[in-house]
Parts: sequence; structure tokens; C-alpha cells
Amino acid sequence: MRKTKLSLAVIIIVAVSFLSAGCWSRREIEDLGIISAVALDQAPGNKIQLSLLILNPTAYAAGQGNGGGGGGEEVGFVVSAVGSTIAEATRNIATTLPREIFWSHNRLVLIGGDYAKSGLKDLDFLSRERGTRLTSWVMVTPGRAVDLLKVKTTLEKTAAETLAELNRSRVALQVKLFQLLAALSTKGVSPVAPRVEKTMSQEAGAQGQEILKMTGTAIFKNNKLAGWADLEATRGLLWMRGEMVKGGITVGNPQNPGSFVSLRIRDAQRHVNSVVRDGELMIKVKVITDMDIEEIQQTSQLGNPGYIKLIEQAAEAKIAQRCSRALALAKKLKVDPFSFGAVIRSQAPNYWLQVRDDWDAVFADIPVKIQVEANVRRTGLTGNTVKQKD
Amino acid sequence: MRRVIRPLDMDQWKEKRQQKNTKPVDIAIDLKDYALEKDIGKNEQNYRTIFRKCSDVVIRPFKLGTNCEVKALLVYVDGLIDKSLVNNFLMRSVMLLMGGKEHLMIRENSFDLLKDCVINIGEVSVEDTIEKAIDKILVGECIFMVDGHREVLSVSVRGWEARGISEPDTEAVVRGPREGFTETLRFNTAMLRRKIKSPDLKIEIKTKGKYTKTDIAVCYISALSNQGVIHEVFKRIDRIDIDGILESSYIEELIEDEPWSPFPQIEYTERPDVVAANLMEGRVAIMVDGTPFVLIVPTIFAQFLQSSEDYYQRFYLSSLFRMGRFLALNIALLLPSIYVAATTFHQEMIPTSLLVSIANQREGVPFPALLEALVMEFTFELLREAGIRLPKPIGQAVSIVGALVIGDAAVAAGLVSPAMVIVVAITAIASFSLPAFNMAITLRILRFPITFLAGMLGFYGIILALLAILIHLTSLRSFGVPYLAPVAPFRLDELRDVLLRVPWWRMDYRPESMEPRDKRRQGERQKPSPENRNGKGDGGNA
Repeated sequence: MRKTKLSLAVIIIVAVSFLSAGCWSRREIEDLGIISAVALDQAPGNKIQLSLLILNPTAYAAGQGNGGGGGGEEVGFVVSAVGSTIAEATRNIATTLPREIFWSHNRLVLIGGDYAKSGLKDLDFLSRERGTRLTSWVMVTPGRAVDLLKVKTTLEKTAAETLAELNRSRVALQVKLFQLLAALSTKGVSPVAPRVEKTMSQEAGAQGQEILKMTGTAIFKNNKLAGWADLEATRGLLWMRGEMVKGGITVGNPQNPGSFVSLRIRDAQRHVNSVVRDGELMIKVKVITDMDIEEIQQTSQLGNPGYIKLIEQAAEAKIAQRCSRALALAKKLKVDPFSFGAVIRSQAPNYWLQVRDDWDAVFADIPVKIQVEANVRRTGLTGNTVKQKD
Repeated sequence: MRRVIRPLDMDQWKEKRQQKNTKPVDIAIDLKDYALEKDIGKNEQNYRTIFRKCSDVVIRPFKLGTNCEVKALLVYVDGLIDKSLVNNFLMRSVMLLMGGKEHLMIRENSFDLLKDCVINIGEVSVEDTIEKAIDKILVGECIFMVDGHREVLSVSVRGWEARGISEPDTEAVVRGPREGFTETLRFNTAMLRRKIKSPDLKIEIKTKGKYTKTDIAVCYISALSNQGVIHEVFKRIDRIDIDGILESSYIEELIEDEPWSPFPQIEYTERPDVVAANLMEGRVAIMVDGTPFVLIVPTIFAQFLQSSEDYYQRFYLSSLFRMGRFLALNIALLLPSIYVAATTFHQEMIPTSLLVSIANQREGVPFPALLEALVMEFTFELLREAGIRLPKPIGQAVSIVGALVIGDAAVAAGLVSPAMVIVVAITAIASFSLPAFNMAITLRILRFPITFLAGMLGFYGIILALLAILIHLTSLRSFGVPYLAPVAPFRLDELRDVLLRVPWWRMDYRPESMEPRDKRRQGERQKPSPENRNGKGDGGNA
């Protein structure tokens, strides 16, 4: 009898634990509002305007493009709401959205210019919420971020995908959410993020169509947007940060003035050394890169090591010039996007203790010496340029 | 006037029923009431009583020799004996020829004379109790009795219609022997003896079943098999007390280590080569008369993932297939539950485009993913079952209907999503790719509770289920051998024939788990190499 009672109790406990605790976080896949991108904009009254790019599975799977043709359903649509915090804004969005907001597939956090200038105060939600991914890309646009989400794109299905793929080309910096958060919380590093814009297409037949474009870098001071770097300065930033992994550089042809040589970057490293002399600090940056010749417009001297040397020198000069531009910009803005501060903290800790609270101002006055070493390793499939008949 | 029928109460009904049942009908015969007699007339009377209403039993009184001096009696079951043998070698010998010894025949010595000099058939035995005589009659021997002698002569003239040896349907191979066991035990032992020509191959017979009196042959190689295992097999078979044994599964369920486990703990096969190979690894085979399926003990889990063909194909192929089967095992067990868990709990694990695609497919599907999965799995099992039971032409029709209903119409009607159809299909294919049918069934059964747990608790539920299964598996034993050997307990050396199938020249040892008496399988340095081929090396351990 006791045994029967005991086994009955066990059965009931097991059954109840399944039925009561079971499905509490269960959600069917078709009830999800899958977010592809988030845009943060400033709203009046120190509030925040949250815009979500939500995928429409039916249209997405049907592959109808971005609703461009014949009034088909749009692959992604944008919903917006205003709130004092992101969390409050999502509540407001939920009043109009029939599906549960599902953060886990968010690819992109797009920050509007006004919002960036007023300070990145609401990233807390993105790091605290269970579903959001710290590996989402972060980008900044000078105008309103929500407008970029609404751009109808070709090839990719949504603006979010287009921007993520543009980012992958590594024309500009790549910054993920966790990197931005780390930079925000680390002394001696200024946060940066790629800058994107929408412009009008200049292509014949596509005039008036909006396109998305990477146009440089947004540089933050503490958590506020301090200024912009154009594409050339951005390349300099990449060299100086040691993040140059893909790309090319074009220099004048030493043999034939007026023609050019294009080089493909195979590998690039930067080494930062700080030297404290008489209480004065100096930073030496050395950039070492391996390159391949991608294109030469006219040459007959490829077998000549001296000629290769000349090309290397031209490349070195060009890289150094870009680095200097980036450095000058940073000094002007009084920010340190190169994370020199972090280097000094490890290399000259005593000095760092004195300057860390005022690093940005100190940085602007510190002499930085840039040294570039470019090596041309390979010359491609042909030797000298194919000679054309006279 | 109407007659009122009053319902009986329970006690009255029982009483009435009792009365009905005690009406004299054929009462079971107790052989203890009968004995062998010297008088042939009484004997005949006894047999006629014992075998009354047994139309297939032939009781034939006759007189010996041409001078008809001594009475004799022949009893056999028609259909179990070879009539030409009885007519040509038994009746002809004793009635007409008498081996030229007719003049020696008197009533007193006739029995011995017949046994020693006259009956020209190989297998003859003398029985002295009526129970044994009856047993002999029923297994297809011919009972021969002579007036004035209590003993009976049992002459082996068995012969009946039997299925010929054919390729086993359930274990077909591309390369390998194409013979399979049949329903006749003697053919089966003969097939085994033809594979293993050694006096060390022992075939011991036990008879079980009150009515079926089924012969059970326990086969082992005495020089290899562990004494303890053999002893255990006999101990377990000896305690069987059952009315009938019609298939080896009766034995399987009666001698299993863990009767409640969903996992099969005894392997079966209908291939003589498989039995021979297992005997040579030190296992014990149990053959049962009347079925081509032979049991093999002790069994480990890995055996259910091995096919006999693994040993006949090149080892690269076999090793690849073995690893593939491990994958198939996991798919067959887990794929629906992983799908359900991922789509209802862990959507963040699915790549975005796939997620969106599944979400699109599930738009309009009325059921939650869990129910969808269970319904689809259940439908598939029904179709499979229907296809097996029906005669072949109709079975095909069912599978066509099934394919259309599941594959197309259900999706078109929006009842299930295409993704779920794919999941169910892959699961089905994976479960069919396992060589052992009984293991595939186990996986099918376990799939349902795991899917249910996955739908309730997500991956947490799957892990819980897997843990429970693992704990159960590690606690299983088959005749003293751990079920998960050689993985747990871990024996690296044996894995060469579990995860992989190494070439024969590397399989130097028998599996340690079986604790064979002779561990070494072959001589040293069996790998072919130039010096071995030229006979310069000491090829072998000679």
C-alpha cells in the first residue's frame, strides 16, 4: 500500500513538473517577428526612436526581391516607436506588431547621427537582453538611421543584408557590438564604427534609385560622436590599427610616369612601441606589409630588383601619407582610435598612471613616428607587360 | 403466457458453467497409466487408446518373415517419415528377405536378431518406456515391436517436406554466401558443421515445450568459448518451463538479462556464416527447431551496427560504412526531436535564411511543431506496418498512396510543412540503413518519448532523455558481458573491429570482452609482404 502511494506520488510529481514547467519558453517558429536590423535615432524630448527591420517570411522565401516589382509583398518592413529606453520602445512596438519580437537573428545595429552625437546611452539593452547578439555589426550614418533601413536594395533582399555584405568587403572598419562595448569601457581606446550613407544612384537607367554606400568612419570621443573620417583617412586608420587584411593600393609607375601600378595587400601588421625619454613620450608605429603586383600598366623591368624596390618605396610613401592623414585627424579631434593608450598601459605602466585620466588631451601632443615597410612578394602570372605591336 | 427469464447472479452462473464443463469429453491421456507389455496385442490396444482420434498415426500389425510365425507391430506418424524408406528397407527386410536368417528366427530371439542382423537402416535405438516410445513416434521415427519383447525398436526414417535452402531475405548481401538457415534443425546443424569441420564444435540438444517438444541446439566451440558463458546458457535454458516454443524469440525473451529493457540483448541471424564467425569469436549459438533464426550470445551493442558483409568487402569500405551507421543511428534516434527543439525553443541556432524559410512553410500549419512531428512519425509507422503486412502487390499500392499522402497532399493541404516531411523521410531512411531490424525498432520506439521531451523542454529534454538511455545502456549486461563493451569498459584494442573494420591480417586477437579460452586468432605477421610471399620470412608463428 505504501509502495503504491509512493509510486503514485512520483508519477504525479513527474507529470506535473512536465506539464507546468514544460512549455513556458516555447514559441512556435511562425509566431516570431524576426528582426534583421535595428536603427536608433534621436527623438524629441531626450527620447529614443527605435526602428526594427522585420522580415516577412512569406515574401522572403518567395524570393520576390524587395517588393520592387508589381506590388508584391515586401521582404522586410520597418516598424518604429518612441520610448525613453529601448525596452520601452519595444513595448510600444509590440502594441502594433502581431508577432513576438525575436532579437536573435539581428545582424546590424544602425545608429543615427543625432543620436550618436547625444551619446550612446542605450546600448545597455543590447547587451543585457537575452536574445540579442553581441556579434551584430554596428554602423553609424550621419542622417536618420531609419531611412537607411527603408532603402529598397537590389541583389540582397533587405537593407540589413546589403549593409552586412558591404561590411564584409572590408573597405572600411568592421566593428561588432561587443567590440564597440569593449572600446566604450576601456581607457585609452576611442570607439569607432563604419559610416554608411544612402545616395542616389548615378547609373543610367537607375537614376533616382537609392543605394547604400560605405563612406568612411565615425570616431567617438567617450560615448559621443566626435567626427568623421573620409575613406582615405579610414584606410590610414586600418593600417594604423593593424586591421588591414584585404584591399589594394595604386601608386605611380616608377618606370613610366603617367602610368600606374596596382598592388594587392596580402598581409599587414603594425607594431607599436612607446619610448619614454626624459619624461617625454614618443610613439613609434611600424607597419609591415606583404603585397602582390596586381596590375602594371607598362613595364619591361620586372626582372630588375631595383625596379621592385622603387615600387615598394612608392607604396611605402603612399601608405605613410594615408597613415599621417588619419593621425592628423585623430589629433585634431583629440581622440585615440588607434588604441595607443592600451599599448602604453602595458609598455609604460607608470607613465600611463599619470596620464590615463587625461589621455585624449595628452595624446594630441605626443609625437608619433610612422614607419612603413612594404614588400612586393609576387608578380602574378606574367612577367613584363605584354608588348603591343608597333 | 410469457415466460420470464430471470438473470442469473454470478454464483449461479458459475455453477451452471461448471456443470457444462464437466460433461465427459476426451480426457487428457496420462501416459503413466500405460506401460510397455510383452503381449503384442495389449501393446496394440494401448497405442490405439493413446492415439485415438489421431488420424495421422499409422498402427500396423503384421507377421515377421515369410512363414508368418512371429507377430510384430509398426507405429509411425504419416507425413513425418519417409515412406520409401519404410517400405523398402523396413517392411521388405522383415517380411520378405529376413537377411537369409529366417531359419534362425524363433519367438525368443526375434527382437535381437532383427535389431542386429535384419534391419538395414543406420540409426536404430532401443527404448524401454512407453513415454520414450511415444516421443520417438512423434518426432518422426518408426516404432517396431515384436511379440514377446517389452523393448521397442526405434528406427530413424524421418523425412518430411521442408523448405529448401535459400538466400535470407532479411540479411541479403552483395558479396558473401547466399545460403540461409531453414526451419529444420538438422539441416541447420549440418550447414554449421560444413563451415566448422572440427570435433571442437559441440552441438548439444535440449528439448523444451510440453506440447511442442522443440529441440534446442546449443552450439559452441569448446576450445574457444568461455566455460562460464556456456554454463550460464544451459542454466538459463534449463529453467524454461513452457507449453510451447515456436520461434527462437520465445527463448530470447526467456533467457534475457534485462527483460524490461527496450534494447535487444541477444542478436539473431539466419546466416550460417554469421553464426560460424561468432562461434569462432568465442560466442555461443542457440538454434531452435522450426525457425531459421539462430540466437547468438553474449551480444554487445556494437554487433547491431555490423553487417556480415563488413567482413567480406574491402576494409576501407566497411570502415566507412560502419562510421556511417553510427551517424544513421543518431539520426534515426534524434533528428525529429532536434528539429522540434530547434524550431520551438532554440530558433537562434538556425541560420537566418533557413529560419525564415521554415517560418514561411509553417505559416498556416494548424498544429504546433511537436504535434506535427508526432503525427507524421506515427503516420509513417502506420504506412510501414501496412506495407509489411499486406501481400506484395497491395503493399506497393499502399506505399504509393503513402508517398502521395505524406509527401504531397498533406503539404498541399497545409496540414504539415515540407521541412517536416524531409525530416521524417531522412529519419526513416536512416532507420532502415541499420542492419539489425530489432535495433531499428528500439530506436523507433525511443524516438517518440524523446520527441515529446524535446517539444516540452527543448534541448534540455533531449539531453535528459539521452542521459537516461546512456545510464540504462551502461547498466546492461548480456550473459555477463557489458553491453557497451568495448567502449565502456574501454578497450582500445577491440575498437578496431567496432568503429573500424581493420584488415584481417591485423585482427590478431579475438574480442577480449568475450573472454575466449584462446585469445589468439591467427599466426603472427599475416600481412602480405614480399618476404612472406617468397616464403623467406617465417610466415606465421610456426
